[in-house]
Order: sequence, then C-alpha cells, then structure tokens
Amino acid sequence: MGICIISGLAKGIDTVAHINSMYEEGKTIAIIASGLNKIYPPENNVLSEKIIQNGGLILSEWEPDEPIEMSRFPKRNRIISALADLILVIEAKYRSGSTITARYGFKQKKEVACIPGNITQKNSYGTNRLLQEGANLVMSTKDILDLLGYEDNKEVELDGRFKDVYDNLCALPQTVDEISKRVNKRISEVNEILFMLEVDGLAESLPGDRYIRCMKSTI
Amino acid sequence: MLSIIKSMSLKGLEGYIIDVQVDVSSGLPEWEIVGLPDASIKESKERVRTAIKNSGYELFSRRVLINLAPADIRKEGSYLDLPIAIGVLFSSKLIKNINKTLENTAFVGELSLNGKINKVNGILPLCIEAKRLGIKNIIIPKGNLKETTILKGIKVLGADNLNEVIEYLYGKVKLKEKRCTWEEISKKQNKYAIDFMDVKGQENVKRALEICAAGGHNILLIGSPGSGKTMLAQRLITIIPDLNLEESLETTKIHSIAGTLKNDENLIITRPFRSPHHTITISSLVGGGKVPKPGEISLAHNGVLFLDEIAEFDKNTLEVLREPLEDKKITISRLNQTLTYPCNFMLVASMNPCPCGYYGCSYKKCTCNQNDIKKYMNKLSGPFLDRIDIQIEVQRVSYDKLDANEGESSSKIKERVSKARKIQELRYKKENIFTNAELNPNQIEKYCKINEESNQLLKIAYQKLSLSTRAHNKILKIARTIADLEGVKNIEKRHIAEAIQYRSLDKKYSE
Repeated sequence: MGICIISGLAKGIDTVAHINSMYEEGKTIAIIASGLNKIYPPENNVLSEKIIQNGGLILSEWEPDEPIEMSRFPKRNRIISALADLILVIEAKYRSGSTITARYGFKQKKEVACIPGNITQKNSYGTNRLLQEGANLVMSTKDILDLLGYEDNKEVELDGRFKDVYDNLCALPQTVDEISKRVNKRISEVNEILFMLEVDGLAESLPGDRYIRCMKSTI
Repeated sequence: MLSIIKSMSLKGLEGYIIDVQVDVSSGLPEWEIVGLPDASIKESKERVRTAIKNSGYELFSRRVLINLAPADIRKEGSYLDLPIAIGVLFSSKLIKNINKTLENTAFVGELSLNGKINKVNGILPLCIEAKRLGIKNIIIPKGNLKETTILKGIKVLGADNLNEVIEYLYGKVKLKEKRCTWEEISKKQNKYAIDFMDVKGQENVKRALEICAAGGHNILLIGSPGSGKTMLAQRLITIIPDLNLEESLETTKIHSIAGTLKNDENLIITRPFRSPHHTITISSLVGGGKVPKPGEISLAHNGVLFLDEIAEFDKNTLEVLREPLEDKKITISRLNQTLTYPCNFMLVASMNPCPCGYYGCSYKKCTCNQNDIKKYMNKLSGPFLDRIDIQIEVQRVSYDKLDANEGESSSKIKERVSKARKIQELRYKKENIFTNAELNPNQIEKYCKINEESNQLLKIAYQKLSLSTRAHNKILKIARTIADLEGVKNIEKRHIAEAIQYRSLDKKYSE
C-alpha cells in the first residue's frame, strides 16, 4: 500500500516495526538520537544496514560521530512525530517515550491513535490516558486505514465453505473444536479450511491451537 | 552314577537346551555346582536337598557334582531346581526303572522347601523355543500353565509338586495339560475399561489420535496442566486394531520374561500401555542388568509407550530412544552377553508448552517470557523431534462442554482405523512394512506422490509459515494416512492442508 513506517530503531516495538515493514516489502525510516556512526542499541547495526539496503532511511539531527547520550532520546521523538501522518501507540507505561511522541503529535496537529488495554495493566496506562485525552481508538488494521483515509471497499471473496469458517472467526481466539461446532463441519475439514485461510493471510493461528481473524485481507 | 536331565534356558528371546548333569559318587559329602551358575542357582542345592527330604526320600551323604552344560554361558534364576532334583534322585538311585524315556523331556521349575513347584518367569518363550529345538514334553510349574495353552506340537505338562513329577515318571499319574484356541482366548477379550466416549469435547485431538492409530505415527501432545493430555493418551490403545495371535505371542513372551504377566491371563490380548515416571533410568527404559532384562520400551512392544511430561525426562534418557524408534528393536550389550529384544511401540509424549504451563492457554495467563518458552521447547532435541510425526496442542475443555453429549465410541473409531490399516498392509506387501509411519524417504517418494496443486500449497506453506525442511516428509506421511482414512487413492490438496495442521511445533515454536 506504500505506507512508510517511521520509528526510532530502539529495542522492542521499534525493531519489530522496522523488520515487519521490510518483510511486507515496504520502506521504513529510522530516526536516531546519536550520530549515524553510533547506532544504539549496537545489536541493531545489522538492521540499520538492512534498512538502507532496502531503500529506507536512517535519519539523525547530529553529526556522524556524535556519541550516544540518553538525554537526547526524548527530544528525537519530535522528528518522528513531525514526519508521520499518524502516530500509533501500541503500548505505553506511565512516563513512556511513546507518550512523549504522542504529545508532540498533539502539538503538531497530527492524528494520534492508541490500542486500548486493560486498565490494570501497567503497559496500557499511557495508551489509555492518551485515549482519554482525545487520541483515536484502534482495534484493527482497518481502523488505521480509515484514519489514514484509505478507502476500503474490497470485500473478501471466498467460496461457500471457506466463507462459512471465515465469517465465524473473530478477534477473540477460538479453538478448532469451537469453530467446528459453530460451523457444523467435521474437524478434518475445518482444519483444512483454517490452514488455507492462514496461507491466504485471512486467519492466524495462536499458541494453543486457537485461531483469530486476520484483517490483512481487507487491504 | 551319572544322570543327565534336560532343561531349558533363554538368551534374550532365544532358547537353548541345558543338560543338567548330576554325578553322585563316594567321597567327602559336599554339593558342587559348576557351569557358571549365579547366586540363585548356587543356593538351589539347599532348596533341592530340603525339598527331596520333605518329599519323603532320604539322601545319603555322598559327593554330588552338578554340571550345567553348555558350561560357558552364565545362567541365572531358580528354574533349574526341578531338573537338578530329578537328576539327584536318579543318580542316588532313589528312583529307577521308570517307564518313560527322558530323551525328549525337559524340566523347568523352582522348588519350595516342602517340595512344591513354584511359578517362574519366561515360561512361554521357553516352551516355544523348546518346541523349536525338538523337545516333545516339557514339565513346568502348574502355576505357569495358563500362558502356554495356545501352544501346539509340544506337550506342556504342569506339575504341582516334586512327588507328582516322580509319580508321573513311574506312570502312576497323568500330569495336567491345558489347551485352548486363539478364538477362545481372543473372545474372552475383557474389553478395555476406558473408552473415547469418556472424553468430552477435544474433537481436534481425537482426530489427531485417530490418524496416529491409523498410520502408526508417534505423537506429541502439548497442553496446559489439566487439559486432559493423559486421559486422551491412555485411550489411544482402545482404537488400535486388536492384537493378532503372532503379535500377542510376541508381547506375552516379553512380559513372561519380565514377570509382569497377570495371574488370570492366558495371553496378553489387550495392547500394552506403559507409562514410566520421568525419573526412569536408561537401563530400566531400554532394558539392562547383569543379564539384560527387557525394559519399558520392550514391555510396550505392539502397544503404546506414554512419556508424560517428556520435558522433565533426563535428556540422555530420551536420546537412547532414538535408535529403537527407528529399528523397532533394541540390542543391549553387557559384559556377559548381548541380547536383542523387539520394541515396536507407538510413542505418545506429552508436555506443557512452557515452564509455567499456561502459554497459549485460554483461561490463565502465562507468566513466562519468550526466552523461557524457547528454552523449555529446546529440551527436546531436533533428532528426537524428528521421530515424532504429529504434534498437537490440547486446550482445556470449558465447563459448559463437560456435560455435552457424548462423543464417538472407541469401537467406531477403531473400525475406521482398521480399514485404513488394511489399505496400508495391502499397499506395502512388498516393502516389508505395515504402516505409513515406517516409510523411508525413498518409499515416500514412491507412495506419497502429490499433484502440482498440492505441491504449490506446500511451497506456500514453507514460505508463509517458515516450516522446517524436516517437516516435509512428515507432512507427506500424515497426508498419506489421512487419505487412507478417507479411502482415497491419491493424496489431494485438502489432505496436505490438514496434515500441516498437525505440525504445531513447526508452525508456532520454530522461530
């Protein structure tokens, strides 16, 4: 779809975002808080090379040999938010770096979106607070595309028995047994269909032999 | 005077005739046993002497020399008491002028001090081998008669005590013989006390177990505590086709040697289910001891070996299973002898998905991090996992399903399994194998041909799910079994798709 993912090359969700954007054959931008010759964390050196090879961009406001200084990390986030059309916060603790990016986003009049979480969960404190302050609530890839203004009118075209199973999948993980009961089909057939859906990116299997619906197909 | 009495002994499952040579001569009164006897045979002189005395015969103080020929094989056990006693009686001229020839008669049995003949282990293989070696009559403890009822072409006589044997030799009494046919025994089949009907829900796992039973595949069940892994595994034997006579004999032979036959059993007619605890040692798993005894894997011959909580087993212990899983037999080498026992078993293993046990569980949160889970899964080595075709995750059944209507009964599933097994037997007549699980790579190429469409699907699966290459052959084998269950000649796309679903480790834990 040509959506470029911007992140900070840090550990965790940053790394995941960069890797997956390349995996999906998209380009990606990493904005770092030190000189271009001083990648932090060092284990992402390889990743930074891959990003360039893939036609992506590593961006820094500092001179190439500028050392790594922790105090500069939060400030770097203003560039991330400035370059983006939409800021999506997956998880954020109380006083997290991603909250800072989101705040910059509010200031810069960007769209900010969060994935909600359980209020008792530490990692959801920041995102839930942002939601309270007016961020958009996102539950699926479709929501993100809506925010970015992409039209989504491609319906999944499936033949009868596949559609049956697909329609019974949702965001809540279900076991094969439950699905087979719902669609009233034999286990062997459900297993076969689920696999075909998985290959087509319409379903995803989770540990514990449970399946959820995948929104990828709507893209 | 010298007398020679025949007896039998076993080297593993192979028997040989022992000549018990007894010489009683004048000299210092002493008993000497030569011919590599172990402690239990050396002690037999005390039992024999007292048993003879208590049977009403008086032994004079003479020099008694007993040789157990062939003298270069180490012998073990108390089953030579009876032939020694008979030999001593002959040599001391306490019995003479009998009206039986002992040319083709062998004696086996342990004596009590009062002359009673006690049960010993390994009687069934002894009798089978005796028949092979040309023995016509064999006298055994009465208590062992049940296991030999099926034998033909050899007279198996059960004796209760020493006096009865002596009277038999004089022709005064007839010893008891027991006969019954395979039909009679197998009819008595006391049906398994368990049934798949007892398991509520779990249709997915049941289907996987059905495929297992049909194709002889090994299976790994992954699930959180209390999800029913053990319960499901125990029921696997109820859907495997019944033992035939040959299999039953083989299995009974091993249990006879190990002494694990039940008192009321003729032959073992239900498939064995062995579930050793995870603290088991290598030698009790594969067999061992000074004179090697069959281990758990041999006791599970023609049945199921269930390793519960396989991740808790000692890694070295699991690795020794690798060859037996391929060869279907185990060769144990010890200082004195090298023995081979058969061990054609289906392996069912179960484990938790992670150290806390709740990874992927729908009702409780897992507290492990990805590293812990990876480490836990790595407890099973690649080569070991290579020998397990099907991996499936078991999820706990929710409460409202517990009182749902009952599932299919074992006998119904067994019918389908038997059909699929017959198809395989016919197909592999020339290959000297019986099930899909035994296919080697060359045979897979020959018998598991797939069309272009299926090939394409496999290719996509490889890329999308990052399947390991070792999964390829397993998927084909499972797909073959699924097709056989359906009674379809060629493997189709839908069979491949279903087969991949039974490789959850490849799908979810491989990265």
